[in-house]
Amino acid sequence: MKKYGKDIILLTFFLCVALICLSCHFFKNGFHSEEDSRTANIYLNGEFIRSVDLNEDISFRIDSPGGFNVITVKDNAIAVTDSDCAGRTCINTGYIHNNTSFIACIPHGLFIRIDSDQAGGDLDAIAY
Amino acid sequence: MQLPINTKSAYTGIMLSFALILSYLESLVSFDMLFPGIKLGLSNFIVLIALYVFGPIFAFALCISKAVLSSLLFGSMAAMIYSLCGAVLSFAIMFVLYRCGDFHIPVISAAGGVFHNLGQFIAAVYIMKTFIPGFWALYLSVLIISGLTTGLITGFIAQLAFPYIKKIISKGDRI
Repeated sequence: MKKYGKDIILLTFFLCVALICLSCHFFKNGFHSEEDSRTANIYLNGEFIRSVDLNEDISFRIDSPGGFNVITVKDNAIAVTDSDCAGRTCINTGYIHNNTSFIACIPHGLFIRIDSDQAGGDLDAIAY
Repeated sequence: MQLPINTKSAYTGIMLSFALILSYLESLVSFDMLFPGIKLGLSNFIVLIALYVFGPIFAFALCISKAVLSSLLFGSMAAMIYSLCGAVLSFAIMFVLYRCGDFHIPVISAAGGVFHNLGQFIAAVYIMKTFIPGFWALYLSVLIISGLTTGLITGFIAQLAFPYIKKIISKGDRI
C-alpha cells in the first residue's frame, strides 16, 4: 500500500492556488458584484448627451425636438417610463440591466445603452 | 501489462468508443448554469485506465482522438481547440504524475481535471484576447476547485473499475 503523504501535499497545493486566486479576487474587487460599476449612456440623434450611474435610483426628463422622455433608474436597471412619442416602443421595452439589450425611441432619436467595461457576468458572444 | 501491439490498438479502439459514449451522455447533462465550461469529464477515466493498462503512447492517441471526435460529433469546431488544449495539458500532467509513481489514481485524475480546465482557460484567453479584468481570478479558482472535485470523482470510479477492466483484457488476450 502506497503512502498518502504526497497525494495530500498535491491536493493541498491545488487548493491553496485556488484559495489564493479567490482571495486575490476579493482583495482587489471587494465584495461588490460586477453589476455595481455599471453606467448607462444616453444618446440623442447619435450624439452622446449624458451618462447615468445605475447605482442611484433617479428619474429625470430629457427634452428633444420631437417631445420628451422620462428616464428612470431603479435597482441597477434603466427604463423609459414616460414619453409622448407615437408608438411607445421605448416604454414597452421595459427595464434593461445589461449590455445585451438597449432602449431606442426612434421618433425622438433617443438611444440608451449600458456600456460596461467589465464583461463579467454577461457572457453573450461565446459559443462552446 | 505486456500485450502484443495489435491487441493494444484493438482495445484502444474499444476504449475510444466507450469514451465517446460517455462524452455523449455528458453532453446531455449540462452544468453550465452557474459557470460556463464545467462538466464532469467522465471520459477522463478511460484515458487514465488506458495510461495504466496500455502505456503512455496509446493513452495519448486515445486522448487526442477522443478530444477531436467528441467535439466533431457533439460540439462545434470552436470547441475542438479548447478541448484539444485541455486534453494535451491534462495528459501531460497525468503522465508526469504517473511516472513519479507515488500518487494514487484519484489524485492523478484530479490533477488531470485541474489542468484540463487550465488548458481550456488558456485557450479561451488566447482566442478571445480578453482577459476579463477583475474576473479571471474568481473564474480560475472556480475552475481549479471544480476540476479537483470532478477529477477526484472520476478518479475513484477509475480505481474501482481498474481491476475488472484489467481482468477482462488479460482474459481477452488468451482468446
